[in-house]
Amino acid sequence: MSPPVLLSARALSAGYRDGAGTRQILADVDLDLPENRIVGLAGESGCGKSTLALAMAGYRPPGLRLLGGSVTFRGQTITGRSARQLRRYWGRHIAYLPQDTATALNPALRVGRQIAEVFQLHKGLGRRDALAAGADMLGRVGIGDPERAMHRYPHEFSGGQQQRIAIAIALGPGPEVVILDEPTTGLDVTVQALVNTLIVDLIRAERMTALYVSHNLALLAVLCDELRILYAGQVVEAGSAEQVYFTPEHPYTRDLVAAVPHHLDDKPVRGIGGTPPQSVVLDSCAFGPRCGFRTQACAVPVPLAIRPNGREVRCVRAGEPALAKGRTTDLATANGASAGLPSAAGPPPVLAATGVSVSYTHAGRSMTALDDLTLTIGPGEVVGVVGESGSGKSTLLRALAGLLVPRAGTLEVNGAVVPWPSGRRSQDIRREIQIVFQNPDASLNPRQSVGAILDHPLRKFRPGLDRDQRAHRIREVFGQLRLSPDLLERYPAALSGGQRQRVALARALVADPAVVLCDEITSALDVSVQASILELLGELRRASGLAMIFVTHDLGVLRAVADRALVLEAGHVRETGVVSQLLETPRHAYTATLVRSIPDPAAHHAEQHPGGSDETRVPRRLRGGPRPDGLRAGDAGRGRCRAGRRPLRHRRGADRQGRRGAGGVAGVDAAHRPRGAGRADRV
Amino acid sequence: MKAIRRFLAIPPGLAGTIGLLVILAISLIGPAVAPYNPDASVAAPALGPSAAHLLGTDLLGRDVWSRFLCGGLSVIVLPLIAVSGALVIGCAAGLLSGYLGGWVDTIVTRTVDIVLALPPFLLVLVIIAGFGTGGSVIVIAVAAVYAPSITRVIRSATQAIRPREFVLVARARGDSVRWITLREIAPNIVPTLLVEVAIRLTFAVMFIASLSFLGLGVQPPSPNWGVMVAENRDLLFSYPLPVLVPAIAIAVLAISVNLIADALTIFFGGGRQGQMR
Amino acid sequence: MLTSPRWRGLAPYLRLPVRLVLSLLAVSVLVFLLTIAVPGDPARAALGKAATPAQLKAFDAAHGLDAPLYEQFGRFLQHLVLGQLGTSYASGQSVATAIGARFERTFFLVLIAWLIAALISIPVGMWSGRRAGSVADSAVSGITLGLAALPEFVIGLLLVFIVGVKLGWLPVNSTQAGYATTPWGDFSSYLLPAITIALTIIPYITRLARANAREVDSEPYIRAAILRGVHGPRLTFMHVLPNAAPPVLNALALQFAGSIGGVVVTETVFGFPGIGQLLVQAVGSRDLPVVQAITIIIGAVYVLVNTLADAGVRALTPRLRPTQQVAST
Repeated sequence: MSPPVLLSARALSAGYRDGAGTRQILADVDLDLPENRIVGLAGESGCGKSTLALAMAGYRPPGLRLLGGSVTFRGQTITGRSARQLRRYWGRHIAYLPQDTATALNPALRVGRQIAEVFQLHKGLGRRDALAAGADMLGRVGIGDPERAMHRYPHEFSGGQQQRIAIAIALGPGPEVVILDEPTTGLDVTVQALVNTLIVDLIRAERMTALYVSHNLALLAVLCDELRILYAGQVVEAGSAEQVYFTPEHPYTRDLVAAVPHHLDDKPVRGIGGTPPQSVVLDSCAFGPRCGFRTQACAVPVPLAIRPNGREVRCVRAGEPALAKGRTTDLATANGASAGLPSAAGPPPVLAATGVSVSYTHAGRSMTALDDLTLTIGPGEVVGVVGESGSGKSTLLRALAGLLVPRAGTLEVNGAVVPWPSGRRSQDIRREIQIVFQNPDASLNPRQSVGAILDHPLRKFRPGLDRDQRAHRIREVFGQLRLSPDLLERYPAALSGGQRQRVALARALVADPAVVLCDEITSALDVSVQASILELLGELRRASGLAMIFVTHDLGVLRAVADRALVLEAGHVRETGVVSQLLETPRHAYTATLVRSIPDPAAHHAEQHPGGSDETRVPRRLRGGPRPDGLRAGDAGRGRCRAGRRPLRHRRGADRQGRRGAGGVAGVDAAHRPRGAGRADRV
Repeated sequence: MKAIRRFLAIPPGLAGTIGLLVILAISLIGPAVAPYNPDASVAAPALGPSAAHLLGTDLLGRDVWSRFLCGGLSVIVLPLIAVSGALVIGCAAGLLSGYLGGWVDTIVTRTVDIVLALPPFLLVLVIIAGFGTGGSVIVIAVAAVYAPSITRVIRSATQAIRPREFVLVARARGDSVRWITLREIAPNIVPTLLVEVAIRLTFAVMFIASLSFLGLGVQPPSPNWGVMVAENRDLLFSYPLPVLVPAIAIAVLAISVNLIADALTIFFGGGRQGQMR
Repeated sequence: MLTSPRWRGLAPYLRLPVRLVLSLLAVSVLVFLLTIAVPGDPARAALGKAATPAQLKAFDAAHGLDAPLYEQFGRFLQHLVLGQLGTSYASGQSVATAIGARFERTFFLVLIAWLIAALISIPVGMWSGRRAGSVADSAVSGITLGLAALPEFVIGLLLVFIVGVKLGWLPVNSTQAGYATTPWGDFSSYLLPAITIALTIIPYITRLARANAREVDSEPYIRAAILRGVHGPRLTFMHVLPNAAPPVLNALALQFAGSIGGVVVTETVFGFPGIGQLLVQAVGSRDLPVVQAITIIIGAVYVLVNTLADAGVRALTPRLRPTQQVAST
């Protein structure tokens, strides 16, 4: 017998008012939140999941038009009602946790006031009692010294702490339903793990119902009971979390799972060609143009069908044997990660940085961004640099690129010592080292055409080429990156995020450098787009023997791309080695912590089923409450080691930061991290 | 060009442009078609409108219509020169101090702070007190007073663009300061710049007209509209036209430029500059 | 020593007066440089072309213009601090006397003008903001746009023409302000110029009020607060206001600077006997002591307004205050 449904959407359709008319974002969505269950909603950017989340809360942002259907809470319709009527529900019965912590908290008010407020409003507590309840809640979410914390302002806390405070405010009054819109996206991996654990604990303890929206399938597979996949404003697959993740039946879900690089195996990632539509497609299957199983039957509207096994799939070919397989198993070669170290007597390193230390001053004190780091890279190698925010990985790349000067250390290129500032380097050296950045919105000059963007470095670094030769070379690079030449006349605004990053790569490659420095180049892209670029990088390596220093926080991407890697923590190198060994048998506690923080549905599944029944869903590791606030990311490694009881198999918590689309989160992160990380984003 | 057509599709843009063109036409063509010499006394003073004198005559017997036709030029040209001067200085100072930072930035900011310690109007009055009245003085004074504001705006716009990654790539490439400021950064601050210029122009028009009215700018007997308003004030009770017509013309000019500034803000702010997606 | 804990605790409180004094100093230096170190001979300008060399020298001696520049500046500062504002070149009387009562009148004029402006623009702005996009809102926007672009003297003269000439309701000449025997006589002389000044301020305040009324829903943390169940006056005053106020304060301070020109022009249009009128006359006759004195007074008021606005913004924006990062333990 299924539990009663608390919050439910029926045939919900909505769109945004556009200059010309209405852009429909959601089409005919059915979504039930049964009592005491956690339902996950997955999708990439533009699929409408945030709009759906807000609609489920009954909130209509300005410009949103309800085109059909309704949302009911305990049988009462909440769509189409006025704000005044809905006020009764908000905060008290239905809580909403937005994605960006900076937007959940009012920067001008003290934390104590903001949290006491919800107790005053919804529990009818007097001021003193409300403050006490607030402090108590802060303690429960793991904020150290809650009494003092109440007097502080939001900006005095780190990102992870801010999100905990937001959680305390949202869940404090004990609502029945919680809607979480990507609550941990943008946080460091280890912090994500802790915050997500906290969320699930609180929800289970208070027997709340939750809707958890994310683009991260693995995370949802671990945290949620049920899973819904949203594509172009329609639900394309629905079922229990494990079923959907391990045996997806819709081609999109299959492809999505295949596009996520896994840190523990060398399965090649496969991107999904094309881009997701930005509004609903009603006259045919929305995924059709990108689907490998497309047939004639897909050219008409496809309904959500209930399959015999209880699943709902929006595909005419669901259930066919070809689709029923789990992950893709074809393709022989790995994406490019070659096994084994380069031999010791090999060619001289292309780039060697020795004893690099970088400091900066913040608020009158001197802080260390990098401490005595040494890195070498040989021709055709890919060296990964992995760490969380504040680890110094971006600082390292900027120093190598000549954008900042370390206080100690030497740099050698092809055996010759090279000055640090780019202005003092020779033209040749500048040509050999190229850099590509993370943010697709800012990597290209919006006022220059793509052609001009590529022509300039070529003219600068290869003055001997005439116009035709340059044009030829540009086309060559475009071909390698699978970019169409007619993009040359366009301006960056007309390109998608993935295309822009590829143009940024083309710009780096066009003059034939020896080393390309990549600073989280796929972190701001959708999973499927990221996968395409990783595929491309693999091809490039095989074709031209390109050497890369690849910075990332994502261990799966690291595995897919790099041969060797360094693990950085707060400016210190904790471990180096071959990537596969690093990830499978880490020797330093910090590396182990990083690996452990990645949600692993397979391990989770193994953990759940042999021993416990459905009731014991709280993972063993966490009995005893959420981890207190007191641990820094580094401490966490040591702390967990000391505890010693937990074998590495227990993998819990949140995933890597696969951020969606442009602006938004990436922008926030940039804002929170001034050059050199003035305030490390600790737990 | 497509951009111009899109601009004219915005109502304030259209209205402003029309108004501006009308006033420009009067000011530029006017002197050529004026029936009488604007400075010469040609008839009895304070006559009402007639066939010979469309707007009658003023206190000194000069033909008002002729004076009106000739009086627009300085009302437009002087602000334009002043704002252009301020623009050149402001852009150079703003771009360099915003991009280079360090001691260059410190010097520029301190200078700006000092100049802006006084309200602009006051500063100009003090300069006039020191240097005397006349068209050239007020142009230089207004330019000197507006340059700091423009510098500030350009500087903060430059600072917003400087950390963007395409600039970092250019720096890593070893591109020269000249290239980076002129070819990478400057094209991205054009929208901010245009809006700021339009707003400054509005203020300059009003400012210079007011100064002329006060007798501190363009001096009588020049047929400047501001001067005309001041001269004929005493006629206001009996015969208001010589005051009202130039006053309204000044108003139309100022309003038109203001509308254009508003339209530019909409033109750039509404989705052009911001979202790349 | 200066970084010892006791001093550091005191620092935030000292900051305000210190900045005030420094700004005032900057203003005086500026004024001094501009008026003294300029070409042209004040003596000649004051005494005319017919003056003999002896007369010029006497003038210079009387006004201390024959001393070296740094000495002049020293004396300038000294007099400033002591409140001695010098003697007018033109009238020969003490500048302080000349300014005296005028300052009071101008002060009241500005006060009344701002009151009128606030009373009209705030309600209209908020009303219009809540109906954003409607016909009424567009009408309000159009009117404010037009008003904002009208020079003060145009507004003043139009008012004079319509109200004074055609309708005869109010006196068009405010020369009686401050001198009349009956209260209404006094006040009516203030009214038209005050309305004129108010009309130049109203467009900006209306726009501010309107922007703030619209902002309620667009800020993400306001939306988050709404979704927590916060509403009504609590939302407006506790959540919106602290965030909306700083830009308003800044804009108001800026507006004040802008309205100074309007005051000067308006006083001239209406013949209002305030310091604006005096300033114009002094500038025209190059009566430097008067110009200096008035400039410094107005400049000082401007600096005060700015510093207060700045302090207000800092008080409301916790982010700008120096804080310590919460330790992770």
